[in-house]
Amino acid sequence: MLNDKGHIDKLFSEGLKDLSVKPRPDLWADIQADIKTGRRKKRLAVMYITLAAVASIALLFTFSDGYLFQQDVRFEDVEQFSNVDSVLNTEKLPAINDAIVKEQLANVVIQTEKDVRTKQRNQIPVGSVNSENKRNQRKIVMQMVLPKAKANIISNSQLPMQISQKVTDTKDATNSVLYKDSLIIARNLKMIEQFNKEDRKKKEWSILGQVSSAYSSYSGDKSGDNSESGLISVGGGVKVNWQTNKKLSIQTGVIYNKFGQELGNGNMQFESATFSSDVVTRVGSSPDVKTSAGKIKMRERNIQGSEMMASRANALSSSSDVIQSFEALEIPFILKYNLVDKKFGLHLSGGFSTNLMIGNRVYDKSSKETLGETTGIRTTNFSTSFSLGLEYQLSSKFSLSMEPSLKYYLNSINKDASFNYKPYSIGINSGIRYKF
Amino acid sequence: MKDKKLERIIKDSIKGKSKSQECLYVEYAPKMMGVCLRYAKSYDEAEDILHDGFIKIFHSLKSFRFEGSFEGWLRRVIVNTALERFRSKTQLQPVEEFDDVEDEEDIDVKDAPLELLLEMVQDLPDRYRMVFSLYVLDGYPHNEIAEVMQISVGTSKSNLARARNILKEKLVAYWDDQDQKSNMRIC
Repeated sequence: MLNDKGHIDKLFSEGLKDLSVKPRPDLWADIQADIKTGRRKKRLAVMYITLAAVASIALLFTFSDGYLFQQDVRFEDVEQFSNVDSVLNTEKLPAINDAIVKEQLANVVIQTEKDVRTKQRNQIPVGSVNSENKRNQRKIVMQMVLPKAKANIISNSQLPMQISQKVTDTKDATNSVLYKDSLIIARNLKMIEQFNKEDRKKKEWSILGQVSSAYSSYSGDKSGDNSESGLISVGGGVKVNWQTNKKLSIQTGVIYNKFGQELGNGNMQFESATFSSDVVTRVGSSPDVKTSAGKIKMRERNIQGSEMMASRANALSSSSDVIQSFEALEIPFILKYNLVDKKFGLHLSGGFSTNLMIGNRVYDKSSKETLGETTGIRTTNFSTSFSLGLEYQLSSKFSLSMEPSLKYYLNSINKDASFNYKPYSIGINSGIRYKF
Repeated sequence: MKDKKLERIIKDSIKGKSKSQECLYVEYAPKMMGVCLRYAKSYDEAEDILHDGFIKIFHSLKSFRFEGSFEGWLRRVIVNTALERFRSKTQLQPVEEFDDVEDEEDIDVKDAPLELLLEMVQDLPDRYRMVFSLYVLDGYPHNEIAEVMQISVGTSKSNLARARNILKEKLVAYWDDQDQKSNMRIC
């Protein structure tokens, strides 16, 4: 008897390793056909892509004639047109027929020279148009046809002289030039306006209302012997979003948030100071209790009657925990970068905030009774925050957002150098955004 | 096929010359069919793998660097095609994890016909067949098997042990049957 492992492997390996079996004869024909189909598909795909690209470019040139024309227009160009207009006006020429201008502006299709000639026939006597006028007219018509706007517009600056000459020649011809020139001016001005509108549209404003729930804790040196743990709290506020471009936006606003810590009942210092046998007299003298965030100054009270004393002593010496909380109004300055700008959006945000402290309280967790406050807390603190946000576009105006975030205080919130308490909070902001 | 001739045929095949492609197919298809049969459950499935494999071969022929054995490269492409097919088939099936199967039982290994050996391999459950073929017939180490099959090395080892066990049982049954038949003939 032999150990079989090697032998079984060998038996199969020797038999099947170099197994050679002829496939059915027509399999090659199938393979060949599929290779050709694949190649054909590839060729077709390339063809489609090329055709699509050509078609897109053609469409772009066809339908966006004015748009492309307008994109190069600058204020100096507009001034040149204004000059043309003023020259014409100084010659006391007939006013532009607004109705015709509007009609022409509404007509997106490019005017051909032929069309212009037809119009001339309708408006001015054929005999009065000399050959020079015709050449000038062609020039003007070309300005409307070619998308290379700038070059044509610049060449247009020579028009005043030409037009002036024509005006002296024949009034009808001048009317025609004026009409066409006015068309160009009006059209360019309209497009500048449109372009500016679109430019403004990109820089859209929106307002964002959000609520957040966060877990806050701190980094820094632990002071005192208290058992301290993080605090879960809820906040919220309003932010204004200014979209500077497609990807980047700036946010600011006012957000209320709460942070702090929970002091556990293993709170030795607290207990020794307030709950010892001389609790009654010590409460009255408001002892200080040391925590990582600072010293807690117990609220001074007039001890009136044994009932009051009993209830306070009860609250403090019972197993219930004490909350050391701070409330702040945050004024953030956040840069938001859109990673995905679709129905489901994804963005990264980061920035700095100024936090104005509006609340500083130490209270009993169960009874909510205020016991005192932390001393030495700065009124203004600075923090930084980062978040990764998801946004779902409900409509063109409204969208929902959810944003896991991390906020970290850059400075110790206590002025006393013996405390280095820099709170941080990890939370989720959820909200609704309205675009103006 | 001589190296230079093969190189020319490969280069012509890359250019898309049908004759050269056919030449390569005729030369290597039977061997590759042998590979396919070890990874397939049936002859039809083996042909499907061969079909897909050769299309892939001709599409990716330009990536062959003329270093090492061309046949080895072809085998690799065919095995990958078989693995892809296996992965797409087993995507929806739950992955079973097994403990290592230790088998120390010894048997007396005798010969068996080729067809029977192939049939036994093809009858193995899919995963066992893949692991057995990769390890025993194509020399893949367990860590590579684990990677290409997206399983753990332990699972690969235990699958191999189970495959061996199944094959051993079948072989023993076959040999016993053969012994009985020969005894009857003697009597």
